[in-house]
Amino acid sequence: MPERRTAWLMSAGAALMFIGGCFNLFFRATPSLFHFGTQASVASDDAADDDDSCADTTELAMAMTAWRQTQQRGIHSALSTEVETAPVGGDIAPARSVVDAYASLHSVAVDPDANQVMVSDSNRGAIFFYNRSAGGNSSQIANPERVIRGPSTGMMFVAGIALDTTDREVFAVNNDIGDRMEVFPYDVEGNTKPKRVLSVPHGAWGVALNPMRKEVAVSIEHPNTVVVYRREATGSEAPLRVLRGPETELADPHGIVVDTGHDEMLVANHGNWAPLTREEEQAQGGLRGGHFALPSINTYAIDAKGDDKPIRKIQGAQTQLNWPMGLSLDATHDEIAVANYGTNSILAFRRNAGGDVAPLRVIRGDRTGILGPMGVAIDVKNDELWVTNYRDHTAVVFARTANGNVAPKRVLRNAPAGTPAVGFGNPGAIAYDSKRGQILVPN
Amino acid sequence: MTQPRIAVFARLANGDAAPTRLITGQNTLLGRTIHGLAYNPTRDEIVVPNALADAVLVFRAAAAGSEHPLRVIEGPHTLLVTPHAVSLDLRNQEILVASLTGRRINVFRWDANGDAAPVRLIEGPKTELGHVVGLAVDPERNLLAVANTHEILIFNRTDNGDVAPRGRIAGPKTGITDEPWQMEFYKGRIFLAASNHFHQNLYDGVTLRPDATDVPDDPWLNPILGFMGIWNITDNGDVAPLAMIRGPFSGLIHPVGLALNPKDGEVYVSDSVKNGVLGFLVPQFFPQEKPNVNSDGRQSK
Repeated sequence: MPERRTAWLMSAGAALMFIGGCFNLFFRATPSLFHFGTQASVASDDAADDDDSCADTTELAMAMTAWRQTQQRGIHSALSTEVETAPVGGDIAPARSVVDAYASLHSVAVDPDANQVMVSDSNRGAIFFYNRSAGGNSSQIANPERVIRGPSTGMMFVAGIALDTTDREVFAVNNDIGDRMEVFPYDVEGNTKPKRVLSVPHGAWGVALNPMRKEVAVSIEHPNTVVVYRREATGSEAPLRVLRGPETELADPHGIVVDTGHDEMLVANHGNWAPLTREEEQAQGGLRGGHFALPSINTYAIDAKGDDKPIRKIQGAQTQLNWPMGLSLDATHDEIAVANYGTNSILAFRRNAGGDVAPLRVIRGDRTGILGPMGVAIDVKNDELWVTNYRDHTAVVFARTANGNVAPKRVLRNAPAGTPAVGFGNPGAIAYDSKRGQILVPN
Repeated sequence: MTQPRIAVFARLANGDAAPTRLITGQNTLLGRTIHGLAYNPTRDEIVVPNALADAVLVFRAAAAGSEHPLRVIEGPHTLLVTPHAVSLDLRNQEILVASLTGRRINVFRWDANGDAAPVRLIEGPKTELGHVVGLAVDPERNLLAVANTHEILIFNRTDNGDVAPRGRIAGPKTGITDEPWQMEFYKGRIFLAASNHFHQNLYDGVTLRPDATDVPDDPWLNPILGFMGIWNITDNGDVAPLAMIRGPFSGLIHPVGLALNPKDGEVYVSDSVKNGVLGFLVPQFFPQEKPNVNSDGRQSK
């Protein structure tokens, strides 16, 4: 009897494999029979119901669509009229692909009242919603409650996120060539259109909400700028004000946070500075060239604009700042936390610190599980501090006042423990080191 | 691009692979928007621009961690403005740098350091330089190929000042539509990552364009597929590539980075949408030198 059952299962399996194989061959031969959708527009109504929330399927759909159109236009894959002497190319499958199949966790935000933690994924363009208590000591993946992802979302290299906990909305800015900010309600998921989309200057990284003034501020890396919009701004709406100029001492700004209690705005800077264009350099009295400043946390008046100076700066060797990324404000305890990417650490400062000051606390060391920290969020209600690791598939949770080389309270994994993190962020160039047989990939 | 670094992978790395080495941290002076990278086998160095500080950094090729560059080209005399692409002329010992918003090509000695003036500068209206993110030099034929806004421009290698390109590879047959990206050169042929994404921004810097209306479509959903293409550097006009890698099974959607490994017959291409690096085994793309054969059929020494 067991033999007969085994034989039946084998037959059934073989039949399924045959059917699958036929489908595969048919699919490859006639891809145009299979509809994958066409170019998705953020504002397109007919894209809203597309239930494809799988990034890889999205990529294949895009490739197939483009391929069909290419074939229809008669542009051939490989050979020109010089076919006799041309090296043969075509639709060649790669021998190897270094691609991260998992999310790269970028920024983090916590809504303790909703018991939710939101994390942005700049690898596959997504926002993950987790229960606030997700994670633990398991080596397995923590399941999100919801995921917003897919072509209709318009998200690509999502960087900073911010929460409006009153109106229950998530604000996300796209770095690289996304040049936009999307706003989603808390309760949506899948491949859904944003509630609002706003065009922003190139190089957006951080986003911060000001519920008192009903404004949203966005840091822009390339032009060393902070732009401030109406909270409800959408489409091509112009900013209310722009903070930019040499006196601002903004230099490759990243994380940004608004302090409504003191009407201030804090901005993390990497220190790279250059005029944006040749015309701009010439307008300043001739070419002066770029320069490297020390990294800093600059504080501005909430209504700062134009070439306004910072009220104060945390900057200098004592600060330990090293490629500061995300910022978080703890208004209750009058502190700020800094995701200090360059030294795999979290720095805590007094909110009103200035000058070359040492941090109040530093979470750093091999027990912390901090690796490439990009985002940080303080949850005062639960006395916790969240950190997203770009160089690991984890977010780690500490006691708010953790200090030194301490283990996290919980680890939230989006890949099984030990899964390498590729860590790409749209590698725009590569090089081959022929001496070492290595591929060099910058971000 | 949200975080600056250079990651080093073994040639045979595949799938979810961790870098074997990282160059990262404040001390490296790296910035984001690294659109150029070149390895110098003669000096065993790597050259990388920092577009956000108007600088070109030169590292030991074996650099690791928060290592400071060996040399930093930066300052008003460099005339660098948003340097994006770099290329090396190993024969003539030069570093070529394309300034994106500066719309110029700066040429430096390969040992330049500090506030060094370029030895040559291609710029001006005749050059037609616009969005330049790729460069490749052919020292044999003394030609310079430039990946320009919608085309490939060819200059003489030693051109200087406001000079018109001597050749142009552009048009529908080329398949290049928008922002051709990194280029490499090998034995008379240009290898190009033709991104074909369609990047529109409603802002000119931080100023909203007067004609700004709706938010543009996601540039990576442009249905015109990108590809890796090869041309002869002597091509001119609307010339189809000699060969290309393109199509759904290639995995290429909007490729941007490109590197060559002729010894192993491989081409490496980075893709924006895949957010990955794909390795193709294509020895047919690397024509071997024909051996000199004696009348008796034996290979001459």
